[in-house]
Amino acid sequence: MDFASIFTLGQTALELGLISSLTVLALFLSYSMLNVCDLSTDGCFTFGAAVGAVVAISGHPYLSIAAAMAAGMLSGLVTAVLQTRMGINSLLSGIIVNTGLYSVNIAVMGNSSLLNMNRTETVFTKLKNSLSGSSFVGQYKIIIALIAVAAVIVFLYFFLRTRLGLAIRATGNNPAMVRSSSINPAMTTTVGLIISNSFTALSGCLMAQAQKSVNIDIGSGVLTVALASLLIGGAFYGGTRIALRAVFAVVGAVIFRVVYTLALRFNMPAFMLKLVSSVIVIIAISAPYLKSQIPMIKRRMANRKGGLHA
Amino acid sequence: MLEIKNISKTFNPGTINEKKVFSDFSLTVKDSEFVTIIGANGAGKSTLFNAISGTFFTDSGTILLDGKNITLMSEYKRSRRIGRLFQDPMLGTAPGMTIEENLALAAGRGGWFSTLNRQDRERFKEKLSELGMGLEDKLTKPVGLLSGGQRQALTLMMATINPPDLLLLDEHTAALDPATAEKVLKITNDIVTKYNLTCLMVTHNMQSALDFGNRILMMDDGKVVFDACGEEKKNLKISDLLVLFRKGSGKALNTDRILLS
Repeated sequence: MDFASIFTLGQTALELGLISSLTVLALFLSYSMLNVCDLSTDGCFTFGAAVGAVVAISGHPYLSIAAAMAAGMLSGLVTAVLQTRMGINSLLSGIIVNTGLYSVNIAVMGNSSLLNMNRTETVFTKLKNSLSGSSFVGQYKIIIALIAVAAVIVFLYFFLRTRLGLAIRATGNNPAMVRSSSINPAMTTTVGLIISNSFTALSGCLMAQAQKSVNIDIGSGVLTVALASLLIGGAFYGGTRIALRAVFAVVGAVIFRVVYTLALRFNMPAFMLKLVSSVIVIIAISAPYLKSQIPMIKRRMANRKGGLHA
Repeated sequence: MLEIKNISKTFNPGTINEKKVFSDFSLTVKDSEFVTIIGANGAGKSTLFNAISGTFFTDSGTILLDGKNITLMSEYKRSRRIGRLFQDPMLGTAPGMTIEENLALAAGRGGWFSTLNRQDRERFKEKLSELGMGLEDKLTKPVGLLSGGQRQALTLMMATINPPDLLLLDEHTAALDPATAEKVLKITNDIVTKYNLTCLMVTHNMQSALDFGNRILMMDDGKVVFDACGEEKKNLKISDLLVLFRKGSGKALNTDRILLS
């Protein structure tokens, strides 16, 4: 393999990693901060992609970004209302919204499960055209993804320091304490899910526009992949500083993509992506638990060897 | 002033686990009264606190705080005026967040988008140094690293940083070692006295029930069986309490968990 093709592969991995890291940042807010596992993520990702594509196809490349994020907020609002105001279990509300969004997404795409954006003007084509002739023209996707990721991290950094941001973090930590600070945890959960879902939808929108098409399955498995990325990032930085944790969530997403790309080079079939991400999530979540069990297992084994009185 | 008028509460009505905790229970606590409450397990002490703070709603009756009807107000809204501490030091604070972040949430100054500034930190430091637990130098440390006593003292600070109309202390020193418990009780007494707070304190320690506060209640089976204040309370001894309890409830005080000294 020559240098040029390695470079191209790395670049693609970086683009996809950065765009999907927006979903990882969404989970950073909902899963790590709010302690809610938002199972509507897959559907919301597709929702953002579909709404963004339809608006872009109708000739509004910039508006498509805002529209996708607004769609995500709406989806987050529904998920939050189900679990905070209607007594539906948090995991179940995510699944319900996810299922419902499947129909909504097909309706948004005009009764079709595939939309093509080959000739559509998007933020990507806009930047590509304005960069034409300069030496950065090949990096237009990375530039847009970087801007989006940086904007989200800066937002999170400042937002999580405000009183509302602190209240959201405390809701994931100790809801009783939030209540005794006369803040309604239902409200903080709602705000948190609205914001996190807007990031997920943005991620879906940019993913679709970068690959110039959207199909109904674009979001399937996104949650597990993002969770794997988040946990990989957490393995590199275990500290408490919010900005660094967010940055490492992004690093985790990029590492995941790079490793996946390498695996593909070594002839791993592409359909293995989801199994690999599932295994990573299983290992990352269960490892600390299993590790804590080792001393007990050792004692039991020693006990067995030495008989009952050991 | 807290006025509880004729409240009733039955848990799991119509089932085999039906439990009537209060029927027609009334209690009035005047401003800046510091009431200590003792009673055996199941006497309804914590249930009374849950009713006052809105953890559940009563079946009937009214609860007024400073003349305002709070009977149907939700728990988080009541907590603006009612501070509460539990036996478990873990319940009052967010362990993953720093001391200053916990205090910032409790202090609740400014709008939703306000952030901590230097004045806040100065104020927190000054308040924390009053506790004498060395917390003033640990503003940016996660609360999860503190000892039970430190967490309980911090929770007390959070509950009183904006002096509440009513402070509820539910055996808040029971999970601490004796020396720390004594220290936290002293801090409690200082704060209640300093801000002239209206306070109800459940304790399992009869001696502290006598040493602290200016009114004492003994509860049994959802009723107040003995109530004394002022000089009458001051002259009470533990032996008196045992006799009075037998007189009020018709049975001996179950002393399994109650400390006589």
